[in-house]
Amino acid sequence: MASPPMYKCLVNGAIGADARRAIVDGLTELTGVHFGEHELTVEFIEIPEGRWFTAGRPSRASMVLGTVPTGTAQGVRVTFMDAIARLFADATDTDYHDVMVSAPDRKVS
Amino acid sequence: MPLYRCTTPPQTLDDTTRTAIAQVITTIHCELTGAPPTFVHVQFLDGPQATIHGGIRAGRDVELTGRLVERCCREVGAIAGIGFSMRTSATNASAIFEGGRVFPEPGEEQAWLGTTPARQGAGRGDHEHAAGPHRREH
Repeated sequence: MASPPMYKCLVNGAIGADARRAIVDGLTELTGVHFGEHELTVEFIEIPEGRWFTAGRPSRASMVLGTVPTGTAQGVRVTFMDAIARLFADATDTDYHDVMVSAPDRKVS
Repeated sequence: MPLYRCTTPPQTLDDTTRTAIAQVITTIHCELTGAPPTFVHVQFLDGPQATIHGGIRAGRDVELTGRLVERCCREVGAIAGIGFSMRTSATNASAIFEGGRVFPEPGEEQAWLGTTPARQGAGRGDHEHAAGPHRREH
């Protein structure tokens, strides 16, 4: 039996309860809409201020690491990643362009 | 991408050391891969051991990856004054979304940078969209 999808949100700084809830709810909806999967795990990792660098300088970026079912069409993957970036940006009031998303095909265990 | 995650026991590094390590990792990665510095992310976390995990784009050969590991361990260790172990993992560029669009394949960075979308309202027209919700039958 396949494990439910897992998302890791690498947050630049702190993230409050309301934003976490919005992201979990949003990821649940997106995963259900795009892949018919309704159970998932979301982990939030707060990277303290001053500990995330881009181009060797303090960064504003955040990142969502997820996966998609093996064989997902690229167009679907891109739409999914774009939606996640917008969800995260809206929930955390950050710039959409500072949100990175990774969604490779899920490894078969 | 790439994302380098440096883990050290608490209070091993200070702000100055972290900055120096972030800069040297950025330099190493860019020198060896030709990627622009703006692609390189370095994070610092607390953990039980001194380790570096390099998440890089797929398509890099084994020799290059080996040189990345050797240089990072040596040069980061010299700055920090402790020894690091390092491992890498690779992700296809097509599965990475950054700056409002799919990341370029290795070697295609300049063309990608040359077509940077405007920050406001960008992204919707820059890539294909599915026709509607996608469901998979189990």
